[in-house]
Order: sequence, then C-alpha cells, then structure tokens
Amino acid sequence: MKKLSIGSRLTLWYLVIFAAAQLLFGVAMWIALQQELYSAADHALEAQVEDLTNFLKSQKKKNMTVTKLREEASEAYDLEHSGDFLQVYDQDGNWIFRAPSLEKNQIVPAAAVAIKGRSFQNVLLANRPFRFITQRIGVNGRFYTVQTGVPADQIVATLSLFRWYLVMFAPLLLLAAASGGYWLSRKALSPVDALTRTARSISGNNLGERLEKLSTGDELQRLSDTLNEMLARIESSFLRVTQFTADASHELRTPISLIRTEAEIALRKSRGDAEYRDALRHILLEAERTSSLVEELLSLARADSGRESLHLTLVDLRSAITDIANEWRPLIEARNLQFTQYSADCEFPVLADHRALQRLLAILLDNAVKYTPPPGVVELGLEVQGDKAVISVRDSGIGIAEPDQTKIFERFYRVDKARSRELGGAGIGLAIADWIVQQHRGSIAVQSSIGRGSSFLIEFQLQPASAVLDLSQPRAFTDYADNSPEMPRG
Amino acid sequence: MRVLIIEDEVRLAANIATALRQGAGLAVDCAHDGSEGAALAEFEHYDLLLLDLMLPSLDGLSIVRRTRARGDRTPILVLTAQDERSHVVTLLNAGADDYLTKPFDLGELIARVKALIRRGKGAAQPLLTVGRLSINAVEQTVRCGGQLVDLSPTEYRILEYLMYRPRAIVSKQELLEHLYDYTWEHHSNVIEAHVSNLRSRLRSAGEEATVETVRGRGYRLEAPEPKL
Repeated sequence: MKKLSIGSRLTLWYLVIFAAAQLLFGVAMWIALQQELYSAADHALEAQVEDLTNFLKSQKKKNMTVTKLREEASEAYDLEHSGDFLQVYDQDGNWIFRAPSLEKNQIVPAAAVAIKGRSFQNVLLANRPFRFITQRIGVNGRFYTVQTGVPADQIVATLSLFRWYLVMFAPLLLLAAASGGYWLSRKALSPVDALTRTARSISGNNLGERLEKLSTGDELQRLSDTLNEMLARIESSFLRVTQFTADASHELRTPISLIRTEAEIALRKSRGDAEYRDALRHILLEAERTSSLVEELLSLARADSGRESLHLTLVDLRSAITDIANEWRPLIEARNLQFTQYSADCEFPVLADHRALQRLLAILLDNAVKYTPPPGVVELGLEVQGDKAVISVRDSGIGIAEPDQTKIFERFYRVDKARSRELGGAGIGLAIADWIVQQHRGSIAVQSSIGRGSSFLIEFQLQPASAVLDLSQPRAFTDYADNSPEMPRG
Repeated sequence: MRVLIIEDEVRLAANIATALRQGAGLAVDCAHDGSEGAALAEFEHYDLLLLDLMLPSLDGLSIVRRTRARGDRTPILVLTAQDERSHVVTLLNAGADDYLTKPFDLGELIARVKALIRRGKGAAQPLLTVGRLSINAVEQTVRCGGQLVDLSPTEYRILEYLMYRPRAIVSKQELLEHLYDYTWEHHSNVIEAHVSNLRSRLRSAGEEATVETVRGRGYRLEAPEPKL
C-alpha cells in the first residue's frame, strides 16, 4: 500500500482523536442528562410513596378489614392524579388499591425490592413509557407493597432529541475537525514543500543555488541550514572535479595537439633529413611526456577509486633511505649538484610500503633537482623527533613563495607553469606524494623562502622498539589488512 | 594579414605559426604568456587573435573580455581543451568568435582563421572583386578578366589587403603593421618596392585597376567603374 504523506497522516490522526473525544463527550453528556431527568422523576415517585405511607398510618383503627381499607383508599385516591398508576398490596397478597390502568398489568418488581425494599424501573404500558417505583413499607405492624408510576414520555423524548442532535452534528463537527487538521498540517509543512521544490530544481548546472533561508528557529530551519551546508560541500567537491577534468584535458590535449601539428607540418611538403629528424624528436619527446602524464593520472585515478592497496610492512627507514640515496647520488651529482645524506644513528622501525616510499622520495628528490640550479645543494636527512621519524628533503633552489606553499599539494597546481612544463612536470607529483604520506598516516609539510631553497618534511609514526626484533623478515600487519590503503603505481 | 598567437606551449605555437605563414600567407606573432599576449593585442594591429584558454599569468577568457571591453573588434579564435557546452557558451558570450578543440586539424584551423579574417573585413566569401580584378583568398590566386596573374607572396598580400578596402586610402604604416610580423626585417621602402612591382605586374597583365600613391598619405586601389 502506498504510504500516505505526513500531511494526510497528521490530518487523519487529528480526525481520529477528535472523533474519539467527541464520542466520549457525547456519551458522557447523554448519560448525565438521563441520570438527571430520571432522578427528578424518582423524587416525585418517592414523594407519592411518602404520601401513601402517611395515608396508611392514618388508618389506625383496630381490626380494620381489607375491605374497609379498600374503601378508604379508593376514596382517597380514585380521583387523585397520584392514584392514576398506583397499586398497593398487603403482606398477604390482597390488593388495597389498584388503579384501573393497572388492572391487567401486574408489574413484577425487580429483585432489588426484596433486599433494599425499593426499586425503580422503566416500563412500557400500552406502548407508553413509564417510570415506576416499587417499595415495601411497614405501617402499624403490617407490610405493604406499593407500586406507583409517572409517564416518562417527556424524558424519553428529550433524550432521543439529544441523541439525535449528537448524531446529526457529529459529521459536521468531524468535517470541521478534518479541514482544521488539514489546514494546520499544510501550514506546518508548507516550508517543507518549498524546500522540496527548491532541492528538486538543483542539479549539476546550478549547484550554486541554495534553499530559502528560514529564520523560524525551529527544526525546519535546522533542516534547511543543514541541507545548505551539504550543498556547499557538494558544490566545492563538484568544482574540484570540474577543475580536475579541465586541467587533465588541457594537460593531455596540448601535447597531443603538438604531436599532431608537428606531424602535419612535416608532411605538408617534402623536407630535408634534418627537418624530419627534428620533427620526430619533438614527437617522441611529447609522446614520452604524455605517457608519463597518463601514468600519473592513472595512479591518481586508481588511488581515488581505491583499486590498489599499499602493503604496509615493518621497514627500517634508515636502511631504506640509504638505498634510495645511493640510487639517486649519481643522478644528482651528474647535474653538478652537491648531494648529502645523513641520518641519526639508530633504527627507525616504521610501517611503510617500500615501493611507495621509493616513489615518494623520487618525487621530492626529482623536484629538488629540477628547481635547484647548479652549483647547489640537495640534502636527504632522517632524524627522530619524539615518537616520530622525520625525513627531510632540502635544496638550495629557487624556493616557493608563501602563497603558493599551501597550494603545491593540489593536483595540477604549478607555481611557474611554463617552467615546469619545460622540465616535464604537470603538477601531479606532489599530489601523489601527499596521498602516499596520508596512506601512511603521516604528515608532509613544506618550508621555503624565495631564492634560498625549500625543505619538505615528512613525519612517520615510529613503531615500538620491541617490534624491531624481526626487522630482517618484513611481515604484513594484520590490523592494516582490513582497511588496507591503496597504492598508486608510477 | 597579421595574426597573434597566444599559446604557452612554445613548440605548439611555433607549429601553428608555421602553418599559418605557409598555408595562409599570414604574418604571425607569438606570445607565450597571457599578459604579454594581452599587451601585444592592445598595442599592435592584428587581423585575428588566436589564443589558448589556459595561460600563465592571464587566462584566455580574461583576454577575450579585456579585448572586447576596450571596444576592440578584432576576430578572436580560441583553442580550448574543454568542449563542454556550458564552457563554450561562456566563451562565445564573452566575445570570442569561434573556438577549436585541441587536438585540431591544421587544415581546419587555417580555414577558420581565414574565414574569421574575411568576416572581420566584412566579406562573406573568399572571392573579392574590384572592376575586372578578382582574387581568391583561399587559393591565393589573382585573376584579371579570368586570366591568372602571377604575384609574389608579398605582392599578393598587399593586393589582398587593399582589395578588402577598395578606393580607401591605406597608409604605409598600416600596411607594414598588417603584413609583417616581428620576425621580418621591415622598412617603409620595402613596401614601396613591392607596390611598384605589383603595379607593373598588374599593368603587364592588362589590368586597368592600379595601386595609386597618394602623396604623404598612402596607397589606394583604384579601378575604373565597370562599363555598363
């Protein structure tokens, strides 16, 4: 079954509760009215019985026979209204007085008479409603049973009229209640509808739009504020993705354009050997640059989609870094740069992925070499700070201006675009480096001043010394296996 | 005709320049960064701006906006790496005349460049006619009464420029600015020599239209009214 809307459900609940209250109220009122009307009739009947008691008391003569008493009673009550529905019996079952209307209608008294000596009942005589009292009275040492009644058609008519009113007005009241409930729920929920409409109209093309700012101070304002904050976050990540796509397509299409124009121009007319060679050299250069860019982009894509994982094992950072330094030393010195490597004299047990570590340092050393004109210095250091291992890559190069320092870890951000393009960078290296450090639960920071050089500092958490025992046998740590981070390859 | 290329990828800019010089007979200048390009576009006289969108120091969209903001009506062709519709719409609405997505075909680039230059001069098709003289800007051929006239590239460029504005005086300075780029050694007497050669070639082809010298002011392409 289809779920009803909150508005309809509220209305329905309102209606049900209102109907129940109305029913309860009606029934209670009806009972109260009935009690009141009958109790007035009962008082009148009790007064009549009182009268009769007094009459019987007054007949004190001894040896008063039943016949004599009948005559006296007949004389007293035949013409009285109060005698219209009266009958009296003595304890032997002889009747003392019997109204003509009751001659054929001996009313059987309710059982209560035997116990309490008095009972009231509603009786139909010739289709007319009556209220009757039946009472035992003791007078002058004898017992009498008295029955007397009053017509109750007035009472019955009043009650039925009241019932009729209740039934008649119930639908009208319910209708009023329903529309009132509906109106209330509409009023309460109309901001929700407005929010829904705006939210529905927001798509990728107008992410800048926001829901109407409510200042009602209630749950709805909280809802709209929360949704707006969510939209802001979505917009900013959407913008980042758009920017990334734009940057990536620019970075990929430009070298392809170059390859294409290079070939087109070379083919336009026949040229000399040297010209062809030159064109082919440029095509090759661009093709290499493009394929390394594609590799980097794929690394990032794999990292983002979480398809490949880093395998963090216990690694001695000092020996890993010494190995990497030995690989890089000839490359750096070939550029007429001085390369120094130092490390504190102790073990550095950290959880790391060896290949990722190599890649991380390759990115940083490569940058240091690119941006340090000879004769400069490149330095790779390792030291302990508290429970952290700190790797530092320092150079005496051109440096990075303060405002750029926070941005260099962003994808495609390049301080000097033309220059880094010439050096073969697309501004992705540091983004990958940042990602690798994050996957190691470490941190990376840069300190730099223009013309003086830059320092990149990476902090890794040191593992407890007891774990060092087994350093020669790298092993996977199971607690990292569950949510194993992913590894970009490049 | 003279074109400015603003493209930070030096080799790509050089390739486009080569293609435009050789394939369309245009004078071409290159700028490799946004603000340099914007300055050149403002202070030199170009018949077309060809620019990349992502440029260092000043991006292509800003250059388009700036150019239009100062009332410059030079046609602008944008090279872009993005072909999203919203992006293209922004570009065209900012005042660019056309765009080409990288990587592009050089033949198409040349055709679009020529078409835009033509449009910028108020002509809808590549065939220009003054009197009996007609040139085809695509084929770069000149005909006099149906007969091909053989001109050197520079002579052709002078004639083409004048053909767009028949009977108007074009100063020597203007000719220099629109026919030569920074790679050429240029002096005003170079123009005089070329104009003189052009005149004699037209005369020997039996052409009545001629390039007149208006003393102290420049040149004018003059042709007798066609006989009815």
